[in-house]
Amino acid sequence: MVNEQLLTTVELRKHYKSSRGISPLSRAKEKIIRAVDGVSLSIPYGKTLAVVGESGCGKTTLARTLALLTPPTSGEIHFDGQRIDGNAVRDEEVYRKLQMVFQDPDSSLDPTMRVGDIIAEPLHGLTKMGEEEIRQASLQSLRAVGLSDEFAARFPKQLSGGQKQRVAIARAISTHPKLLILDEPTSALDASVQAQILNLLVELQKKFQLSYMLITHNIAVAAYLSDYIAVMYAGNLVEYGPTSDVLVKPRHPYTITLMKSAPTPDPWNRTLLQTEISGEVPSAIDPPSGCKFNPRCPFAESKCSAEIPELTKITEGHTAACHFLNKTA
Amino acid sequence: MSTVLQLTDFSVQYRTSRGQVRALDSVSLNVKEKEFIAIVGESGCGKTTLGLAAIGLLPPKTATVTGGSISYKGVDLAKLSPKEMKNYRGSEIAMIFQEPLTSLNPLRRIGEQIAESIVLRRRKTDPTTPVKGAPRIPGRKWKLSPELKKEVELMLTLVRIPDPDHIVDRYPFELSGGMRQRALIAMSLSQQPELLIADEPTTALDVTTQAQVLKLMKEIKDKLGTTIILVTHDLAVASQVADRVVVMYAGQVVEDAEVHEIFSQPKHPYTRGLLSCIPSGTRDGKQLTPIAGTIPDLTLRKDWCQFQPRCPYAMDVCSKKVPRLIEVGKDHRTACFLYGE
Repeated sequence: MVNEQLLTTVELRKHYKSSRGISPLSRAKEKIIRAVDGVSLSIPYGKTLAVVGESGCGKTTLARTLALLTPPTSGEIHFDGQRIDGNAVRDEEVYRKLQMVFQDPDSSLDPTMRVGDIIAEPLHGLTKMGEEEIRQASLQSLRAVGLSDEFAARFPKQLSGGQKQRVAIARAISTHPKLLILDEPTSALDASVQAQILNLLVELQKKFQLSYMLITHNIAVAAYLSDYIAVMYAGNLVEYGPTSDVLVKPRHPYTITLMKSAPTPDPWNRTLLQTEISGEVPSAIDPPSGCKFNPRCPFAESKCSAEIPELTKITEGHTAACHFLNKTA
Repeated sequence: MSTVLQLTDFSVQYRTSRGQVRALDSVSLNVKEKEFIAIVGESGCGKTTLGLAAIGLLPPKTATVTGGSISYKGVDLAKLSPKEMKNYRGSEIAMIFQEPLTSLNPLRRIGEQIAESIVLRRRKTDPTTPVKGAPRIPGRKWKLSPELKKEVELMLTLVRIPDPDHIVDRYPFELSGGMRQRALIAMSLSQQPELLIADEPTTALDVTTQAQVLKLMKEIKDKLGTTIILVTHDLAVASQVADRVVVMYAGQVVEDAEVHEIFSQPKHPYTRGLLSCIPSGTRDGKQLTPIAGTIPDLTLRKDWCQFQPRCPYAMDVCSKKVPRLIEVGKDHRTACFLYGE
């Protein structure tokens, strides 16, 4: 079982300290922001896990922690048979096999570099290839994302939004990684361009046996691209399972609301207008006691504000953290 | 039902360093009373320009109206002087924008900002009676009188902001994105406008918050009879709330139909393309069909169908002249030569 998983996290936590302000005399107490609060999940080889949730739920912090951009507070990350949190493994070794694509290509591509150099940069830093080899490899990457060789000489500002995101993907796949972490890869793009990028991601996954971890707030994109879905709320996983199960039969009250709120192009079925939810995602500094969703939950009872629910098995691989799963069956 | 806003062959151009950009090109559109219409299109299609033109906020230095008319209840808004426009802006036509934080004054309390709107309305309807407790100098900080505060709280309750008496004294930065957008809606509604233009009001919001705000807009339309123009890039959002959907491409209206009609029988190849781009359900091996190519450069526009270079059905005639909007069904118009000239 364990060998099938490319990446596994065990009770991963990332806590930040809030700033006390600039005055040395400030009496404000330092507070702890629990951005990611005990997340255990896994990504099998060649598959896609989508992490969905709203802003502030901790999904981007989770991605940044997995990409070793910030060290976890506690917990374990196992990647391709090795434990990569802590200092046991050099970052370079990890980054050759794990790359990230960010939301906004305008800020993730260096405006002073040519496209060819942007794509070649990870090869210079992470491999021992020679100049000519690197040039060939970066052109190959460029072609893989559907751009012709002439793009190598251009600057990012000469590209459209979709082309920029293609370049960002080309850079990420240039070292032939096993895992791509995609942080909202299409949310800055227009609908027609988004479809092009989604198709490209599907094609690349097949071609290079890539695994994806997709971070998104867009349920439709998550459903389309993923094999597994993890729903996050205020730093915790609230539901986790195969995409078809979670999509067809969501069981956590938050997942149900999220699915209804996500607009679908269907004027005969206006689920969005039927959503009965108030309030917003709670602050990660003072989250509600017990189940963090309880103040907004239509099924909440006294138990919900007293006890933190554990992830409970519903069917094979499909779990949800709710005390009253029988109410949503 | 009478027409509230009517655009006839309305054209707007922007002056840029690369030449004239035709942001709106012969746009004709009728918005009827109590209608909830959605204007949908990708970036650069002119949907925001349309909204700005309707409220008289086109950038005066770079934008010029080059033809046609935009009339609100028979008055051509493009011909009004800035001073005359003031009589319409806010009290007749109101607008809310994408990023609520930039539309609110960060230095003044929410209550004050909404009260200002209420005071303006009163001064307009009854200029002789001074409003009690209102500041003489606009823009100055002031304290709300109890009556005004009550009215503000009423507005906040209308837009479903929980404990309004507490929110009145908050500054914008203390509210969440969804609350700010609701405060802005309260502000625009307090002048009781006939027409509310919402330019991507939920794009910066989370999905559950988006659902709450859209639901609120729908309620307002049903309860107060406000005509609403929702400008959005998201066809799915439009399908969930609008009565009628207008699809724009490169400064032109390409399709205009009742919401069920446009989703069951999309006519224009661009509308069809947009619909097939939206992922729905799990993949199950199926590919999305993106629209080939990219949106055209509006400085180089020619007198032909703007969608022609990307259109899978393009014919000879498409590169020779501009298609006009023609009737293709009940309350359904499209600009495409596939359906006649």
